[in-house]
Amino acid sequence: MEHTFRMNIAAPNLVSVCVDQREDNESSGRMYCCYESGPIAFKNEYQLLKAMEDLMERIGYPQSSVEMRSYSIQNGRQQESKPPVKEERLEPVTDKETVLNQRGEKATFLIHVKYRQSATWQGEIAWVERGVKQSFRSALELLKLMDSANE
Amino acid sequence: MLMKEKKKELGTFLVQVQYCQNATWQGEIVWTEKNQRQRFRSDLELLRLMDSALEQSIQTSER
Repeated sequence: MEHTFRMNIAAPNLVSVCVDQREDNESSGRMYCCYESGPIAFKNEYQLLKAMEDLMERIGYPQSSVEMRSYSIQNGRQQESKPPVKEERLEPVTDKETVLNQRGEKATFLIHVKYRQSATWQGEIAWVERGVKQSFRSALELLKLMDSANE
Repeated sequence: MLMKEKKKELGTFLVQVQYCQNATWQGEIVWTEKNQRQRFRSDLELLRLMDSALEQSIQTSER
């Protein structure tokens, strides 16, 4: 496999996004990372964002500079909007090569979120089939870059 | 009774994007059914707010 871009593949939160289908302007496919033994399926971009956010929250990398706001039930019955985080030490269960070797039917992206500032993400995304890499300053920009690969 | 296509009405939001900084959006969102207003600082925060509201709507409608 020939890389024509340089990327920090040692990053713990590096994910491989394999887009298998594109329908009604939505992408679906599988996401791979070192902390899951198999793929995490996503039916649309929102599910992908959620899966990536869950991963980064679980491994605590990178730390978010702010805590996200949400609508929590205010009547005293339930104060937290998500279940309490278990104090488990996560270990990688899949090796990097397996993650890097996955391919999507339509496209494959390697995404490294370097920072979580301003309540969003900043990092790099590489389009594996084309051997190109771009930086993104927000999750919105990340989605637009992925979208532009479909044109 | 004529069965029309099933439509679930889970939530209505008014979104006002006030700024476009840091390559993302900032503004206010109002969950109209509960008349709750929140500010959002980013794309993700906007989605998270809507998601949390809809989760509550789903839980309420399942009871």
